[in-house]
Amino acid sequence: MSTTAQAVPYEEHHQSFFERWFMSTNHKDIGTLYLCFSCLMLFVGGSFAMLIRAELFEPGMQLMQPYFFNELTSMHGLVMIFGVIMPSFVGLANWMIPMQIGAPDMALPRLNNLSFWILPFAFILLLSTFFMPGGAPAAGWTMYPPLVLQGGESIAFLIFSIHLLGISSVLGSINIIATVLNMRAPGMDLLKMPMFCWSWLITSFLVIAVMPVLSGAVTMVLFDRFFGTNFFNAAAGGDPVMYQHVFWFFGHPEVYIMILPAFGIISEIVPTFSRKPLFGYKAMVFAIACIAFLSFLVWAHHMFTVGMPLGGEVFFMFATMLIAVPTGVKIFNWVATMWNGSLSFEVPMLWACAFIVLFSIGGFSGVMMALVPADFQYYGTYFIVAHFHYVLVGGALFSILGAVYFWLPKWSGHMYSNFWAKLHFWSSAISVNVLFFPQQFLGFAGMPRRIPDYNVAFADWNMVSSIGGFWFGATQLIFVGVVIHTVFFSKAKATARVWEHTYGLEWDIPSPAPHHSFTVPPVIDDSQLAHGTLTH
Amino acid sequence: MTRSATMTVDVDVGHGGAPEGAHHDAPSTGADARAPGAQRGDGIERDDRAQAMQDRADAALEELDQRKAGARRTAWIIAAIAAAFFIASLFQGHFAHIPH
Repeated sequence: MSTTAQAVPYEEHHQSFFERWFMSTNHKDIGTLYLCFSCLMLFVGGSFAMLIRAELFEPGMQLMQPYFFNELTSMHGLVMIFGVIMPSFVGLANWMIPMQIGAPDMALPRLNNLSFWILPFAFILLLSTFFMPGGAPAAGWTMYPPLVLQGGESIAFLIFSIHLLGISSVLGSINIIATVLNMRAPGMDLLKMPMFCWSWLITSFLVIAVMPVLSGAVTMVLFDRFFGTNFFNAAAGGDPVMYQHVFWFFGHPEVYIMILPAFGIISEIVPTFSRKPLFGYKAMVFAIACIAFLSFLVWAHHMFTVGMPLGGEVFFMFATMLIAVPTGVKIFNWVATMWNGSLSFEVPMLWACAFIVLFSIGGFSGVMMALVPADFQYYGTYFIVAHFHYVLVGGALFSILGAVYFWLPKWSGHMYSNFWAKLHFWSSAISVNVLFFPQQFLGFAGMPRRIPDYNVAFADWNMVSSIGGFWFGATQLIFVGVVIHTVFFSKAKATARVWEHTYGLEWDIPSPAPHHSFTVPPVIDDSQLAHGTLTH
Repeated sequence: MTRSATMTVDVDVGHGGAPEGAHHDAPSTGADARAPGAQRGDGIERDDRAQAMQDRADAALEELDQRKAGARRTAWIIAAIAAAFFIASLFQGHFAHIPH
């Protein structure tokens, strides 16, 4: 592929530390900021998880008061969703989308800077609630009224931080949409774009559609709490169930906001290490679009037990089960890409394979919960905790780690230690199952979620789960070590293409990627695209 | 990238051929620079090449500006849609009458 990516290395781009990291409008620097921030938040949210698992290590109250336990579970969810998974995908988008579409940068670089810098302040606000009278929000990440209204004054900080996070996400998504629709190199038609760009384009539209809805829902909560309205106050004619409808109209697409970019990442990694074009590129694109569309029609499956007309239950049950079809298309296409491929299991491929298996486990348990009669049994138990952790840890987080191992040599110009990277993978892959698989047994046995104490009948599997949790948490320190070593100390230089069988514009530019990738649009050669000119 | 960012072009202009406003970051190693006659090219020919390169650089910048203008339009449209969703979420209870 002919490109004109002449290097302006960082060393030659004179900027002070402050200018580069606080005022940067460069997509790569902002991507790095997003990734570092989400890594920091991973350990903040992870430390909450460690405390939760420590409390649940044995039955009986061990370490903390019940209210503090509720604060931890609520903040763990908020931090992991809004502080880890979403920002890390945005960081990857910042790094990769301009390089993959042949653009010099994001379309709106200053907006990009603003999108990021809103985040730390939002989380300072959110985390500061731990030190307030009345403590942090403790009504769960879903913030259901009237429970959330019964907390302390910290609710105002919670809602303001949610607003800030929403603004950050919406601005980031606007930038991605504007970039993808306007900044593609000549010849880079929409249906020639890499899957990661497609997945983020569709995800951005989801963000635009649903983050304002979350903002609307929490705004009404704010007004109920401080301005005397009664949107959700049943005693005054309000309707608390309406909050659940509004929240989950945001909440279910939010699940796909956290998994569609993962689909894009896996669709980049699997063809590379299968040494084959992606099987069914167009089907993959339409499957993502289909999943995104259906995600707007299934919100009430999160609230079957509030009671709704039978017709509503049946509709939401079948609509939910329908999502398994495009999701299955994706799973089968990844497997078909591998089929008869010349597979090699470098570190990113290991994460991708683990993703496919673990996400399938999480997905299947999701289909189980789509069944209304069964859901009445699973609802509010550890089965659902296991389900969404398989999707978000085994799915989203594993894909993010796979993406970092896939593109880190391109970003840093150095190769990482295969030994430590593989140790990180295998330790994570085993411990994550020790952590979450027993929670399915606990859920089946009826252990409710969000409680600090439990029946002694649940003791053994809780202990196993906690051991898995500590193991998984400690394992992530290896990841930090690998990244720091690669960026600052590794002597192994990465080539431009890094891997043996890479397609796409990002691999045509040097490693590390120059400050500005494509100051003159590259020439697109169809045969060099990941899905190529080969058709299936 | 802003307009003031380094402009890199993929036309090799040989020694002394880089025009003002189009910084040439990579060292000139093109074939005509190495050719024995390259140093002896007359001034008019070199000026033509420089002008052609300047035109390309200007065209690339102009196209980039047009793309950015399009991106700003797209951004405002998307922002308006987001605002509409926010407002609709405040009033949806009155419209939807979702039974429960």
